[in-house]
Amino acid sequence: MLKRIYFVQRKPTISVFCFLFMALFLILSCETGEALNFTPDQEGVCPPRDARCCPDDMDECSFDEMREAGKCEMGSELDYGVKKGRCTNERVCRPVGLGEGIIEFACKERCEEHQSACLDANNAATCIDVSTDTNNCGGCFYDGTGSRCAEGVSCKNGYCQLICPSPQISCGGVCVNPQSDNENCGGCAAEGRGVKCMSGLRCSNGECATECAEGYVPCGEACINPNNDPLHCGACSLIGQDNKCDDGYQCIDAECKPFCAEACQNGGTCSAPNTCTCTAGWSGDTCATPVCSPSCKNGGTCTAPNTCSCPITWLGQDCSKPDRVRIPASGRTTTFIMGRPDSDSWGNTNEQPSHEVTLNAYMMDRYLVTAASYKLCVEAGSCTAADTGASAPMM
Amino acid sequence: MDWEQAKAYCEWAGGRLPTEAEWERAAKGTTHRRFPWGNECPASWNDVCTEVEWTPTTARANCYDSNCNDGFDSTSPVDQFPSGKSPDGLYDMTGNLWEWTSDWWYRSYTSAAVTNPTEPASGQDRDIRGGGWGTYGSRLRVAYRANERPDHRSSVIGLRCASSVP
Repeated sequence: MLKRIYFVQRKPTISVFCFLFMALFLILSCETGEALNFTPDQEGVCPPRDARCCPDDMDECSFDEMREAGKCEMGSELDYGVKKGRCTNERVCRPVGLGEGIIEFACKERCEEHQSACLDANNAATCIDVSTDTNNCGGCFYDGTGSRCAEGVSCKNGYCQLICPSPQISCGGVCVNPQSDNENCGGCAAEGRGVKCMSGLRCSNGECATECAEGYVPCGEACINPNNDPLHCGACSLIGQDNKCDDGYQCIDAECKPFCAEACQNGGTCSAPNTCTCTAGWSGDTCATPVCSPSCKNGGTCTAPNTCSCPITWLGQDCSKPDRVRIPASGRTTTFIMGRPDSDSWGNTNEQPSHEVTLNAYMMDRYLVTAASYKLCVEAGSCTAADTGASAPMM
Repeated sequence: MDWEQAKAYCEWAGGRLPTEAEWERAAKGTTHRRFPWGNECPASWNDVCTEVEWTPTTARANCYDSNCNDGFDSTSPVDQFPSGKSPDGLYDMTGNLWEWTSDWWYRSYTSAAVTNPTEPASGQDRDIRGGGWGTYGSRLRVAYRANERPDHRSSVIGLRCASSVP
């Protein structure tokens, strides 16, 4: 069961995200009279929409008013968990999707310790590591607890940080080279880590000195390392001779090479600024997403190249095979005594007489059909919704 | 779900509902036993099970309250009771949910020896097997038979599928 919480807007909004920023000004509509009881392993509405969410004499209330009324105890704002008396079996209340003016909540598995339940680019809820996610840095973007980092800026430890190619470092919103920058020698001076070299001294290998260190060459007022300095890649940039790498490029072994702020993983190569070319079996901006071909079926997830992690009851490389047991394990037929023999005095008469039965070999599901599997059949259009009663065990 | 829905699911999953005989063979193996796991009761309750000595260990199935001591008020995850597996390694053959079979219900066995029985050709009710989360423990026996209207939808009836070996 999945229900919705509707936020009623007071002002017309331009986009969904404007709308989200206005969340505090919005009104949460509570439905009266409906008390929802959560049962183990069942999804439910959360925060509950029953009137008990709101102060006693109000039909509608804001989140703040609802919380103040103390009727619905909210968990961490990061995951909108509802802890008391609502979601059971360690499940927490999480957003499961965002539509036009609507956030849907349901009791879901708790996100891992280091994750938060945020909405991804398609407004689907996923557990996200907010310490590194550039779209939800420091918290979820959709509820205003986190921020979206600008292009070329990465999320590190929950903060949007400009990622600079080595040996450069982020300093006051720009990249500087602490090995040869006279203003930030040895580190970012504004952050108290480096120094400004006194007149007559030049920064060389991170230290203010009179002479350029080994591997460094004089270049105007500075000492530069032409092997890795993007401003002087290969040689000192002089008037009429510009050896500066373009934006998005770094200097490696005296040559300008594209720079990927987030390192390409799993053997991928940085083929253009912030663009990884992935090896076979991987995709995504940083080649961190495994590719399964054929794709994982029946709710399986792709955990490594061509490796699906299947829900219980499904097997096979793409989770397309039901887990069935062959009976008998070998041989073309099996013979058994059906019914209750006289030697077993305990039972009903319709279990008798016991008789020998021979069956052709067959396969039988190892497990009962789960509600999740049945739902897949409904989604495929081959089954009709089992609308009366829980038809099968929940996973 | 009702019988037609169960049948439709199995067809989608590349199979069919098992016959009553296939169900019983999968639950007991080739020799007679009372429960899928053996002759011991799922837990100690005071009617018929007192005749069998019972040592409380782990729950073997999900049935009515103290009859199974399973700790679930309704259905349970499908891999919850490994100690209740059948000789062929099938889980929840009895308990958790009743299971639809493909057979029409008939009252008593008549034939002495049969091959691939699927009788009778028609009827009013369908045969269901296995017992569910609200069933008394004595009905978790593999020989226990029950019937239900095909259009009945209940929170205690589920299914598992079978398929033929070519």
